Amino acid sequence: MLKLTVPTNSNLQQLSQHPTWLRLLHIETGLFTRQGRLSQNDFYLSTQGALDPKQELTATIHQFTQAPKTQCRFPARKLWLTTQLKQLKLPEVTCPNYSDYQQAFKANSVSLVYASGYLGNPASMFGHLLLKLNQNHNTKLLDNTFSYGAIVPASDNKLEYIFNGITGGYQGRFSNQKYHHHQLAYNETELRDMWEYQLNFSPMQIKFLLAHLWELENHSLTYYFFRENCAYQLAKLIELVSNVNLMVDFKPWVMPFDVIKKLTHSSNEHLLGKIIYHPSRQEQLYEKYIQLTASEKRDVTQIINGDKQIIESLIDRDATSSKRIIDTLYDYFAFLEQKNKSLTDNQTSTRHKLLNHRFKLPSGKPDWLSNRPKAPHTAQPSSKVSISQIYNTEYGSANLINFRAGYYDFLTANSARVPWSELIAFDVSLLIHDHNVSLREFIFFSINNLNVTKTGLPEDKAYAWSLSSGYGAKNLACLNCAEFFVSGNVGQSWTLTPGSVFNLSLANKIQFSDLSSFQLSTGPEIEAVLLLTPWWAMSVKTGRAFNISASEDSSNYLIWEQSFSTNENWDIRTAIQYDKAFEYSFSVAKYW
Amino acid sequence: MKKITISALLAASFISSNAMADDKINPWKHCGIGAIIFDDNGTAAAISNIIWDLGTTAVSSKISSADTCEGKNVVAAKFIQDNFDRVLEETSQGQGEHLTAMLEMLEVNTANQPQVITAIRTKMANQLANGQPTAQSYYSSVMASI
Repeated sequence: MLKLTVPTNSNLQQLSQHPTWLRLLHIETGLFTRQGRLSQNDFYLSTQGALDPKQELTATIHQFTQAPKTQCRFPARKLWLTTQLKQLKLPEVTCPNYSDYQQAFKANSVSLVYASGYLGNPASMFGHLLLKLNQNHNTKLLDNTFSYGAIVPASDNKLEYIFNGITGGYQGRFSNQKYHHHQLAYNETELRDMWEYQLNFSPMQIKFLLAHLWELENHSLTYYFFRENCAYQLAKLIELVSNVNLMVDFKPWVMPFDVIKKLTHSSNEHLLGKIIYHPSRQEQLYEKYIQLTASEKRDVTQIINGDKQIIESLIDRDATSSKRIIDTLYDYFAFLEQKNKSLTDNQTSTRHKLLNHRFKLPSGKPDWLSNRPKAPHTAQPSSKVSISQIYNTEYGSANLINFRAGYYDFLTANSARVPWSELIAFDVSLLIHDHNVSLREFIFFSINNLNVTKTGLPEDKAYAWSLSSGYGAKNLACLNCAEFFVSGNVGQSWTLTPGSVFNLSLANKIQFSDLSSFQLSTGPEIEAVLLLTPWWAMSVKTGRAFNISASEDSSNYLIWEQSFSTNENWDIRTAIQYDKAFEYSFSVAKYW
Repeated sequence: MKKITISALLAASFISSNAMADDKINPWKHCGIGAIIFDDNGTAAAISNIIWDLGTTAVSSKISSADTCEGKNVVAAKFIQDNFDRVLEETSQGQGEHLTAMLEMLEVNTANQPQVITAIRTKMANQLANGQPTAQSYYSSVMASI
């Protein structure tokens, strides 16, 4: 008969407050309460388990000894308890399903994979995180992954989706897929880069991680888009295993980028292994195209333009050059198929001919130099607070306090973000003038994508566009004159050098203070963004707004802003603006 | 920050009714490949779910079973269907990560993979010269080459 040694009450009390035990129970401390986050009662063995970690600890030990099969449902709890309570002798039990799972999911190492933001889908703009379990395959495509996401009924419309996603109306759960599904979805279909951050987990830490994922099977947690999302839950898993803190201080929301940033902080250096870049199909095209010779580029362009004779003449080239041209065109047509949702008959026929020709060439790929851009964690932190001294030609000196929840603008350091884009959410500016504080502007969201072509190839371009919404001053000449606005631009961008973009667009804006009247303006706008040095960037925007509603005159406007930054956490900005009055400003911003 | 479709979670229940030997299964005919009723969605869902994103099944469902539509041949067939363009390109190049993954799924040992690829390459070159190959015809060539 087994001899069971039960820990003392004081031992249990102490152990039940251990951070790892609280993490295993997903008990979170809020402003006023502390409660387990799992929705299903059977995750907690005590009826009070979600509220009382000591009762749950007592119930777990009791069940593990009196109903030994319970150990099979909670292998992570068992692992942890047996390391903490050396004197605890549990009845031996076999768990065939869990053993099968361990065998199927065994891994040599674990990576946290960051999929870059995608401006085509509001839910994906802030990126995505997933865990990859690296096995000894000859290819990473067969590695297992775990993701966390909300379970969304297919019948929910977009408004329900947004509302429920934000307010906790959905349950979320962990799910697993082979990595090739993510490669297909992100790299090939949504044309998003992925970055893999290998974690220095020991075999025991990997075992513990997998054991806890097993405990979470068929259990769900309440999903909140802005906090308890994929980034939060994966960070909590890593925290459970490694005892590091991946939450950013003083930030109640959690974004995938923030977790990556925290993971790569010097205090977590011991946790971080290799960083591996997995480029999108579009980036693969760019990498190859830039390495082609002028004559190869010419042939690529002619083939894209439908000159099938060129394909026949590839036979006159040496095999390596033919391969370089065809492999580049493979990427081009794959990119085009995603961008346009399909290929034309002509394009399909061209691709067919290219395949035919490639099969006639010897096996083997040409050597390409691999290009590794700066990884996402090198970008500027996503939240900002700044204070400005301004001088306005209408009302004199004032101060401006600005807070931006996220994410980035043209002048921040934007490694691994959508090139030449800006994404701003919840940006508030308060004006302090004559001891009075007024709301100068609230930007609910602002997205600006200049969509710059990198190759100049046909169809490797898209319209530049922007969309923003908020509440702000009508112009710079007035105080306390804020109105709601929705604005959007459509235009075209060009690049002359790698660090400069010019944009010409039609700018449109609706302003209204109540639902009874509104002002509609439209007009041409020119914008330039120049990244002059690693620490100096500027943007200049000017245009003329023609008031269609005719209640006010048409007006010109100008915004010239410069950013100077030698540290990713700070920058200094100067700005000259004109909109019925001139305004000069100098600001200091802190990013975190 | 991803969303999971509930339809994908339910999908697993549709596919487990065909219990027959893996090598006798026509994945397209018996397992509904191309009709989006498989348990872990790929191209079709990835393309159509611009808003709703990927879904999947419960943790333990990935443990392969030899006599259902989750057997290795069917898994490889799904992979070919999902990644057909890429797999065909890599076949023309004679190497590539998707080719390796496909052969690993089919449990072709590493030493034999080069000659299997050569055999598939020869068959597909003929198919391509005579028309437009499909994922299904590619799968047949693979099965005839291993």
